[in-house]
Amino acid sequence: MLQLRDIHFSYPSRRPRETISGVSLEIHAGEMVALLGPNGSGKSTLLSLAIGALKPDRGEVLFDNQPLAGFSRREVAQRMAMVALQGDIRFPMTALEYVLTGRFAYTNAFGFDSPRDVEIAMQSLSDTDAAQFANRRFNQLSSGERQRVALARALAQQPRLLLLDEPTANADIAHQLSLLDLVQELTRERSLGALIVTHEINLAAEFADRVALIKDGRLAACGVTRDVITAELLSGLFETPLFVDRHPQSGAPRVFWMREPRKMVIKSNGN
Amino acid sequence: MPRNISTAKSNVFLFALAALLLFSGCAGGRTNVAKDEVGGNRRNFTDGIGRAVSITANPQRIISLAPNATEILFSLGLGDRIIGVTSYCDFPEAAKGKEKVGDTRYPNLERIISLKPDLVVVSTSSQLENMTRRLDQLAIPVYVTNPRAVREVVASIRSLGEVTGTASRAAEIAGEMESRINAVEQRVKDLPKPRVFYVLQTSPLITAGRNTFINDLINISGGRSISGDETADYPQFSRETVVARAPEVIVAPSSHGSEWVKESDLRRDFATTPAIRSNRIVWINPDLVDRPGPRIVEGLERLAEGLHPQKP
Amino acid sequence: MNVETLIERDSNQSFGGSVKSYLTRRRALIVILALLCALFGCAIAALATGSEHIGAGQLFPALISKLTGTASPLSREQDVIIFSLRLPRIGLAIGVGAALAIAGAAFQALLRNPLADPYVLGVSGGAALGSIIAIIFVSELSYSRPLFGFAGAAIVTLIVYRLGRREDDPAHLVLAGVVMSTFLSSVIVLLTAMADNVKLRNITLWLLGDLSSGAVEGLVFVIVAVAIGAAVLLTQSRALNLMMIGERDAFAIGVETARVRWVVHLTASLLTGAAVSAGGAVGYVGLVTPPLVRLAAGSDNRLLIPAAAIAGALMVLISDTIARTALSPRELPTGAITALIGAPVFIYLLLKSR
Repeated sequence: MLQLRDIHFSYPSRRPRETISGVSLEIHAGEMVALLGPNGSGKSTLLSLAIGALKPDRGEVLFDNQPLAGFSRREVAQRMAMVALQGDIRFPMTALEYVLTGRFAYTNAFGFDSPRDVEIAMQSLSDTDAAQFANRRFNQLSSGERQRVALARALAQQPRLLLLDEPTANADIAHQLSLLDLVQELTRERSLGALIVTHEINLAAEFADRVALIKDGRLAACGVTRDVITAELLSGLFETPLFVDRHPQSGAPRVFWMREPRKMVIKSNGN
Repeated sequence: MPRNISTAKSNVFLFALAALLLFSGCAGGRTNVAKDEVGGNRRNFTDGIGRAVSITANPQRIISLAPNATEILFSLGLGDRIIGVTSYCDFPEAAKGKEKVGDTRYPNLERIISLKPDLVVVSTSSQLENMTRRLDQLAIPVYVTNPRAVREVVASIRSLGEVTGTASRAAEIAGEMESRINAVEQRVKDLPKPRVFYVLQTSPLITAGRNTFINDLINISGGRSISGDETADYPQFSRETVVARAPEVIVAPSSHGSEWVKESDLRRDFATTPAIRSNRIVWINPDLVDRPGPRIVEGLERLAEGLHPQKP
Repeated sequence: MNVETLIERDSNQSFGGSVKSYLTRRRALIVILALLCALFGCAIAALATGSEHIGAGQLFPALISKLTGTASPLSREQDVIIFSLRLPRIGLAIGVGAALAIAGAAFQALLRNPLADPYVLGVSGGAALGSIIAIIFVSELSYSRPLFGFAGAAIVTLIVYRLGRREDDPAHLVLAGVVMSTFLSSVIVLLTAMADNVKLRNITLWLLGDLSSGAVEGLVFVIVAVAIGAAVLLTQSRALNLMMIGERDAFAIGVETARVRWVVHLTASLLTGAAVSAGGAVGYVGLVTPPLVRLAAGSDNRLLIPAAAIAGALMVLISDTIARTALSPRELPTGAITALIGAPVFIYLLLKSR
């Protein structure tokens, strides 16, 4: 569905250093792909390139085998939706209004929201367990609650591909699990694709079908979860010793660490 | 302990204050001595705003800081003794050739000082109180004229004649002006007074109030200004009121101000007034009615002619 | 695809609870209709008010006679006063107020900053400088003033937008605008210092807002600008709603953000340029009326833009009526009155937003 072919990109202020140096990645319908990597490896940049907010210096982005550049913004929005961290909005807006903005790509410029739009918006809020916030002001919601509303907005776009930039960042563990559970359900039952940038290695290992490891703008590895989440690859990626065992119930790889015991230093009292 | 220190402190303060006063007094004294050395024969006058001024007889280096003062001084035959004028002083022709010391709003103090004048003439219409005070402090004699009405202009010419040692020439000019003013008054004495509207500019609409020259000129030339009760000198005025008060003559400045009094605007806004209907717009050179100088009688005569046209 | 049916405000949907927190067409119409009634009422009242007293009892028959073409009961002077002096001036006040309010709403949405306003941002100053340059150097062409005004406004908008685009700090933008504004004022003062005394007074008064000149070109230009500007911005209003959340989000949802920015920028400059060149720099309208409307009716630009336009027209109309009657027969600059009204209202808005 989504193809990134040999993408090269550098930010104008950081030229000639490339932020993305030759990344090729494919996301298919019905699969969840997690993108892991150290800070500054280019994860968020790759998402921006995927949605078309940034234009690659070399290489191309294809959706359904057609160049992304050939689509209008509306057409892109009907196919891909982005969920990212949401700060304060400077104007008073309710959660429902916020989610309704996701219907923009389907209405004409001046159109008021039809009952169907409202229905889709409310359904999306309900899916993300945020329907109780519909009439609350967005700015009054906690960070985790906003994430759910942001996901609801993405769902309201009725996309075929979800791009999620650290969607669990401020959620409590219960909501982290339910959010990723929902995304997985969507990929299974509605054949959505999902590309998730996250720092939560274990959640990625539990839920993702495939994992891509990125470092210094290059893919260090990409493949089925069990092949990529290995102690060797992860330790090399993060340059810190990491170990992998199996989750007792699902069998998914589970990452843990072992800390070096601190050397005790005994201070002498002048004796 | 503390009391001793504070007493010592206040002693020092008093001593410093005394020293300061002493030195400033000495400085003043020194300048006074210098004045006496230069001048010789000094006379004391009270100027147009009541200040006491001490000026040498027959000042030879005169600076004028207002166009009207320049005109008066030239008419008194002092052309050779004028060493500085403002950039707005454009009459008579000879004034344009004189050294410029700045404009009427911001004259250049350094230039004035370096010209070493023995008399500076200021007109209160320039509002140069600060400049006057600075020149005072530098012991440069400043004479301020302050005519508020047409006849006061005549009086100020006489005063300047006294001050500059040209009293007989001043008397001639004043006498001629007075007779011309009287002539106008005589002529219009029994004529009906038309309602007059004076327009300074049209966008926004500005007219003249009670204490202006033009108001005095209108009164003397046998008219009545429809804005003559306004206390402000140049208020922004309501067009509705002008229409309602139906002026019979409109007076407007020509030349310099012509871009600001658009005839088309006048004709459009005041189409129903008697003035526009009978096409009575009097265009008058603003220098003849704004400058309290010898030409004000010319302005008066032109205005009287406009308000009460004489049959040929 | 789009079924435009009306939705009752408090209807129960299948999810339980009411969905009344978004904009329906009906609510928009109600608010706009209410504001229009208020504006119409104020316009009639303004027509009956002025330095020359003409009673309401005479006014209505006169209006009717004008419409039906029969003889007017007014004297010729009264007729001129009401229809040639007051009516165009009321029209100009409404036009200028609407233009400035719409421009303010547009800037606030585009810059995501509730403090944005043509006056505060220096855009009015740019329009004023453009108009003054036109007055001093190109006064023969009758449309030179609004054209130069538009150019001045557009240039300043561009500069201020570049300078003040930091999303995390709204005050940064206002700072850029204030700096721009004071710089432009200095340039204007410089120009007026070089002009002679008569021009000086003219320019200074006009800088405070002056709606008294009966120039028809200015009125026409403003009305046309308001019509075009409002129409264009209404088509962009949904996109603006999204850009108010954030440009990145708007882009992801499908908005052509770059194009919207340019269109809104030019339109707001056109509106400001037209308003300032016709009526001088009237301030606080854009700063105060959109936030007030937002408090009452929400931030949705589809309602905000027309509603703010009417509210802005009301504000300037009332201010102008006060300006020409408070010290009758003298007139005050309209901008001074909008400031006297606007500043306390703005302080109230600031306190309320805490």
